[in-house]
Amino acid sequence: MTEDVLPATPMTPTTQWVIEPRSSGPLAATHEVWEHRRFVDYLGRRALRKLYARTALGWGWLVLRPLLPILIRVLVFGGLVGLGSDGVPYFLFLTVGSLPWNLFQGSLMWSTRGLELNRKVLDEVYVPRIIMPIASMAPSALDFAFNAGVIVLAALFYLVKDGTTHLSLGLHTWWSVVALVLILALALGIGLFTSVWGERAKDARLTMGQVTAVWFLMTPVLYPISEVPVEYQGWMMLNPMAALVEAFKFGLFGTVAPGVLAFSLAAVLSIAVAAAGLFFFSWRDAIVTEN
Amino acid sequence: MSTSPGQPARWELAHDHGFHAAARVQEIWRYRRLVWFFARQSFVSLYAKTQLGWAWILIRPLAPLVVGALVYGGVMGVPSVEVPYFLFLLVGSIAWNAFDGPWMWGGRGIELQRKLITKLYLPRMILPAGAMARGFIEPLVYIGVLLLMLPYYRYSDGTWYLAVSWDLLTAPLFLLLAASLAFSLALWTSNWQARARDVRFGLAYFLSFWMYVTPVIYPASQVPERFRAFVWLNPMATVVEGFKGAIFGWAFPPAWAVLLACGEVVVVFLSGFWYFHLLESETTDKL
Repeated sequence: MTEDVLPATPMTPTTQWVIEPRSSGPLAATHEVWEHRRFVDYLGRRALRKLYARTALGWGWLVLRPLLPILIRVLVFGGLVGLGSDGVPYFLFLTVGSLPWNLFQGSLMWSTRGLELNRKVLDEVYVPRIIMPIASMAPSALDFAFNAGVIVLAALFYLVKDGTTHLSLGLHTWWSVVALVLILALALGIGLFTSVWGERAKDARLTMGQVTAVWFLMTPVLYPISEVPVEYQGWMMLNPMAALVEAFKFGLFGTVAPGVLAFSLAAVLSIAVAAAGLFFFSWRDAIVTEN
Repeated sequence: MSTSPGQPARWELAHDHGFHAAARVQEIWRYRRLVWFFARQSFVSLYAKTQLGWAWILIRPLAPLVVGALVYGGVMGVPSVEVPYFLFLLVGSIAWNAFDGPWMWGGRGIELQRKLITKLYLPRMILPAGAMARGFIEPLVYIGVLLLMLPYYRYSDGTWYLAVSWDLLTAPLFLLLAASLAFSLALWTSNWQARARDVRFGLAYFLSFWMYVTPVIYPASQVPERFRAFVWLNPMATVVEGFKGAIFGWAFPPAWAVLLACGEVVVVFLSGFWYFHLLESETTDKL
């Protein structure tokens, strides 16, 4: 880097170290994460190993975790309760709806625990703290991949059974991609707040467990939004996850297009929460580093 | 062990492969003080290191109840016979949670004391019995909520809903049946749970499934005709319906169903007792 600055003196080292105060703020934080991206891989593996330590099935849980709850819910809500599913087989309806929801819930729970789980690492080496809530999302990313695999298998099953996969892919599938990005932004945004809290008290984890359980029931995963009584549908717009999950389903099924207003609201909200989370985290970070 | 005066007693050490159920029970009785010790310990560590502390004991069980009432009763419109859905769900949850929590926590008894039991001897059956106590928090909180809600409904709907009769006295018996079943199942699973953490994850899924096939969030009368005959094979269906019957003054499950449930609990308990004994010594080596 310095060769063109000091070309004449042969004795100078080729690398010059510049020591300057660490800049803070959301932009600097983002840059720092990118510079330390190798850690994401390491910490992600660490989180996974911790998750499956001392288990009999070990990695087999990667397959079971997405499948078991879906099978139970299909039996109960599709079979016993007989909830509607916009004309798609209930099993497929639920697997597709669960994919974005599980990504959200998993990412949020794991990022909340990010700082707490990696306290030891933080004490020993310098890693930008903001990496922790991000890298800790690894288990949910892996779950996502397996969940997606379940959808592919289910689609193949229906292709053989009904002669159609019930999926409709096309230009509108971009809705799904955009929805997933926004979901990750929303989860990370909230996680940046809660991980700071989670580092200090177990309450964060307990609270988020409660909140996501309630949030899940208020998001159209088990049921389509069309089944919700009309007087409540307006209220559901306030839940960004409702619009995002609906948009994701639209991308794969091509049946009910999400309301533009609801979706824009959700998009703005997700991005705002992510930005606020970055601000908050880097502000807290500056305080923590000083102490 | 023959002793003659002047000579010290001779001790013979030998493996004892017998089952000796009576001796086991006696031993547990001698160590009974430890049940309280472990029960107390399971509470103390509960919400340590949290900001809200003991307030969590109230918050955690209440959120699922309120949301469940909104979603199942409000949005899905599950019928609840002739009482408000919230009350219906509350009473069903008391009975269900007297089973669910004690099983899950009792099952963790050995696992939670892994460090301790590799160091000293105690009859291991004490551990699930003590740890079970933690699981009774939810049903107790729900009973508290019920006691608060009854006067509220008396004020708002003009009726207590509670049926005061001799039948009410059977309510605690149904809870006892639920707790006995929980302990018996904990005897079966606590050794597995100590050996592998994922047994607990699997059990949690299994329990959520079990809850859905038990008439907790819906009345037994909602069960489709073709499954009706199988409902009472599930002892928890008998417990939950019986408890609701005792509180609201509805018809009890048929007598044969109650007898069947009791029989099932006895079988699970005796087999669990034997199975626990079979595995317990080996478990300590595998920790």
